[in-house]
Amino acid sequence: MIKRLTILLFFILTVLPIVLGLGYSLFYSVGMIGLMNKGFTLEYWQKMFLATDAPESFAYSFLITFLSLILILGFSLAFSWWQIRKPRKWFNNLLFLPLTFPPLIAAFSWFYILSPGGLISRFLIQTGIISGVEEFPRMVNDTLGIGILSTHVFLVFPLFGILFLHQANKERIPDLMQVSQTLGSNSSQFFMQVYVPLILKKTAPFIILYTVFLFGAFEVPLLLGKSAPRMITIFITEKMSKFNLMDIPVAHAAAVVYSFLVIGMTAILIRKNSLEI
Amino acid sequence: MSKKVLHIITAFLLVLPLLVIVYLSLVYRWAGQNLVPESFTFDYWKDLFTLNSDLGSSFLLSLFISSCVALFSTTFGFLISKQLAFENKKWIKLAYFPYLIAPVVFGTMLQFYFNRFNLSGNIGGVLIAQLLFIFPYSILLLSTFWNDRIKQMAFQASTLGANNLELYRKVLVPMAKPWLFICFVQCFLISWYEYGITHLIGVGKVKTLTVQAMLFVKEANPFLAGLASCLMVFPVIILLVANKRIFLRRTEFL
Repeated sequence: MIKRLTILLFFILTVLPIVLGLGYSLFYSVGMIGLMNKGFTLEYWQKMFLATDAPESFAYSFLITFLSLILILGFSLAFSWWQIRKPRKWFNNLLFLPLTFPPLIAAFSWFYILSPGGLISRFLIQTGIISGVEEFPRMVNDTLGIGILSTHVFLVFPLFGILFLHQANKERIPDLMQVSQTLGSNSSQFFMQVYVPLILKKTAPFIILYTVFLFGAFEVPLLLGKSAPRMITIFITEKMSKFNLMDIPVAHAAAVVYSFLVIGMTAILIRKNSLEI
Repeated sequence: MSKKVLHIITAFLLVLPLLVIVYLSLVYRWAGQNLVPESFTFDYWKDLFTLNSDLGSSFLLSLFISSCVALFSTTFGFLISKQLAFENKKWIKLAYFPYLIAPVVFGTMLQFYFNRFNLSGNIGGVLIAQLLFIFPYSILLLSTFWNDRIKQMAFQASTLGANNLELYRKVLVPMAKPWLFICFVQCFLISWYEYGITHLIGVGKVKTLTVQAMLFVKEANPFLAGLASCLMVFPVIILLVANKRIFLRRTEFL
């Protein structure tokens, strides 16, 4: 009896909310429920794809996720590689610092570093490198997402760096390197042909997990993003809270698409993960 | 040499956000484009300890919510993950889905139910909303504890006559202590860092530290936002200094 109750509790706490949420959003998006319901219609789905910036928002989310990931992987691979060859304990300790930052606070800090009224701009003006705020390049609330990317790198690259280092030691990279050097390869060959593929393959589930997180980032683009293009999480929350009631079913439709994308990526993660085990 | 410079620049950039929030929390007046403000003050910090301080009460509220969420998730995560690990191991993976959907989107999809059951705008609602994705995380993390050795140990204890309570009190809990501790801290931190769903379901009425910090940002009051940030980050830094390893276990279940 207790066993059954425990399993039931698991389903109530994990599966039921997803089913309820997705079901509600799906019905709302096809006009079956909600304040403006008028029976089954695909009008809102059409509207989402053709008359709103939802497709751009999805594309922008993918782009920001992809760019963040490239930067994060690049930095963490390089730094973990240097740490392996010449450990700097002080640097390794500092890598833990960003892990103490909530995303919202990291975004807030980077706003005051990169914005035209921020520290870098003030520094450049005081030192006479630029003569006024208008000369300072736009790095927050910008189309390229420089602010978002910087904050993502600050938040995630240290964690990746630490884990790559941990994985490299587990895979006995220093020993492997000695063997490969004895066999005549140089260190850049070893880096490109052994280190990078090995570390990326071994940490693939972890990378997929963070891809999903980055795709669903909310606090950072909320503070540092632009109103157009915007990330999909911002699109959904903004459409949902607007006073135009016709926008709500569109937001639900986008939430359904987003959820299915995440469920798809998660399924890949689970598959990958069980293969690793 | 160039690598050394790169390390120093990166180290500086890693520390800079911390310096910024401390700096902002001490600035009194900062006009024009000066790098250094006209004056510094400890007043914001001193006000924290007065009885009607907004930030002081937000700190206590965040502490309360995060502790409740972490305690619930760790306790029930332990009991349920045991059951699943022993009998329905495959189902554990279902916990990935609620954990990975962005909390704020999950919240918007479920907002109707929260309104329907009067859970919007109160602490109870925020607790349930946070549990929606933190509890699955605890299941994922704690399910890694149940390896074959532990399972055999549990069977052995039962065979030797231990009842269920004794099994937990004398065998399983003592053995799982490090896992339970890490799970508690990680769940606490996820809740401590949360903004999106807390703001959405709390409708801005449940003013945790993150919600309060965002309010200050919107009011264009970077000084108090800086102070709120310090209140959020400093306790975690103390935790980091005390036990660095906890921070590595964020993705233990992978």
